[in-house]
Amino acid sequence: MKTNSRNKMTLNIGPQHPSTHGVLRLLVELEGEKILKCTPHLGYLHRGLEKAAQNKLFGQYLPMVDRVDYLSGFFCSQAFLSTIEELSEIEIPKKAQYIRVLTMELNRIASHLLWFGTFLMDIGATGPIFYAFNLRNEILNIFEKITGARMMYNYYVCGGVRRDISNNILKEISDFTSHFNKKFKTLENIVTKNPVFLDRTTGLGVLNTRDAFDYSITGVNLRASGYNLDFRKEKPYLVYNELEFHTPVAFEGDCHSRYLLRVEEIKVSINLVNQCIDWLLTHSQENYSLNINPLNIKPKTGTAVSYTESPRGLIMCRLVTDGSEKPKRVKWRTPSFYAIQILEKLLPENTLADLTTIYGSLDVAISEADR
Amino acid sequence: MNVIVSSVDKILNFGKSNSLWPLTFATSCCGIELIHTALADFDIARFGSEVFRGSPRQADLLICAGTITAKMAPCLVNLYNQMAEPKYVIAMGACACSGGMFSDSYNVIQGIDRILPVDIYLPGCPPKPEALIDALIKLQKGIKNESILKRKEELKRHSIPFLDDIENVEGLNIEYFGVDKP
Amino acid sequence: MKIESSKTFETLKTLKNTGYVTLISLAAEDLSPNLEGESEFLLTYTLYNPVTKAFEEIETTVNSEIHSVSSLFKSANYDECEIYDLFGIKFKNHPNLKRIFLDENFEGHPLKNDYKQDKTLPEREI
Repeated sequence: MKTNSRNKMTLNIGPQHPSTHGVLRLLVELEGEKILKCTPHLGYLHRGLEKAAQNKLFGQYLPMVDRVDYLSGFFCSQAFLSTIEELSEIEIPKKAQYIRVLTMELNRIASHLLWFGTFLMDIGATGPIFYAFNLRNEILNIFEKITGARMMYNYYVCGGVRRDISNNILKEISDFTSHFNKKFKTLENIVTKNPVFLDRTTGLGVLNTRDAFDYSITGVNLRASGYNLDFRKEKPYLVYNELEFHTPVAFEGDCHSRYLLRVEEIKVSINLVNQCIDWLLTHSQENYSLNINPLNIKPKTGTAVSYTESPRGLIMCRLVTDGSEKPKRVKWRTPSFYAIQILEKLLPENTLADLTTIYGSLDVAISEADR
Repeated sequence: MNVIVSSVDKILNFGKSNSLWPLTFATSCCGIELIHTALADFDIARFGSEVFRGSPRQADLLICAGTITAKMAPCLVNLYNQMAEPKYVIAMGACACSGGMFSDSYNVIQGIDRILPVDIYLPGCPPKPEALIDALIKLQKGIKNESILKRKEELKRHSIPFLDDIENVEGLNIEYFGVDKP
Repeated sequence: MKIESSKTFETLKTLKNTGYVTLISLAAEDLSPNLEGESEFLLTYTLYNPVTKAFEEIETTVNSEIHSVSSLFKSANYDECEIYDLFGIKFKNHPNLKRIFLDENFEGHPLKNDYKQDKTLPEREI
């Protein structure tokens, strides 16, 4: 095809757009329908979460930590508290560790269900999002019974968790997991082997391992390219070394294999939730918190780093203290920041219609990219 | 005069209030609860908001869900100016009402009423979907009290010029990019 | 491992050749006290080796400028733009050093210790 320089145009996909992925501005250079170059612009949601930590007590900063990634609030809380507990040299009781793992895995299922619904809605299938959000609503109702809130929990404290989980709620969670597989299977049957879906996602947005390491990609996006890096097994925290689970890996690196991996991870998480419920039902009389006053936390001077595997990748929290009751510096390393950077590499030589497919399959949350 | 106008008012207000179509505008956490309200469990379509329009020229309700930063403020004002009359604004969440928990931040606007005229304030962090439906019903009740005789005053309250011309207009007292300029 | 700021590029290059292919994170911290004087920052590079599954941390102290590593690791591109935006450290030989989070007309660098802000929360009595 003859290239004509009069066909070039720059399109602004502005910060407000009908897709549900947050405020990201993309400046796309097009030639006809083909994308030549793409420049993302960040910063439309930069709220200054790292600076806000320098003027607050530890207990005052803890509710703000949930908002670093609002779709996986428990993971960010765990990342921050793990550094405080390492510097204060305390070990939380076993029951609190099992409750934390239970709530984190339920949160992983809720986050992947939201990704499932919005990814398919961006491609054009407006049916599955209703069923996926129906299942997610049941999980949020369970969270409301445990913690009191649907989305911003503020449930983990230094030394354990804030409230106990009664046996009635545990029975409700196990009812939910026993019905979940059947309901999710009906959704999967519509989508996974659908010829239209396969046509639109296979072979698209291929990410090879060398580029993934160069751009520091972790999580599902890296495991879909063939390398198994799961920080629950690499640097085990809480009780993950006592639970039995496997991490799925794929080898093609395109949008379809990322979709298959996230669906498989939902099933692995259901298995982990069942194991935690079994342990908690037999040890219901134990201690769930060390009862530390949250406004009275004073860790010793030093630096601590924590690694947590969130639904999007690796969250690293780095805390520097100087012996006083306020943190000196909190640094968040979030996975979506790097997933946006790799758009500059994946998008060229594709048509404009494939932009939302590739961007959706990377599972980006702008609030953790901008902090 | 009022006797003649009141029955016309009733029909117009009935049409306006029971078919408010929102714009898809969500920046952060409150946006997820907005999506939940629009879907199967807390259906907002039974109150008239049948579809969420993607373009501001086709919408008449702006539910501002999420934190607005100083970089995003010009885009929000552009969107509001592109909407056609009659238009209404709901400030959803603590960050849109008054800055929320980011009250000492260097980049967050302390409430969108520094840059836009707001009809309903809905606090919460985030507000539950039932609370958003309650706000919508209160807005509908407020619309039913409007009248075509007072239309000129309402237009004056709603119209704001584009940000480039704002120094030349007298009598308008809006502080914008409000990260607390004295 | 603590090294001087002029040797970071060669050290990271030799580490990359021995297998540390990923730069997981690049963190910065302001070490100078609140008074006016010369500013001093501490940069920390965290590297990962996929073959031996080992982590490595390298720290340097910087005054105002340092050589960029974005030609070795592409993920450092955005990291260094963020540090320039929030701290004011300049990176030499960076392809596109500009503000990434804040507006282009923003004055000052917020996370530096001498950034003055009028609005802070009042001290809380416990």
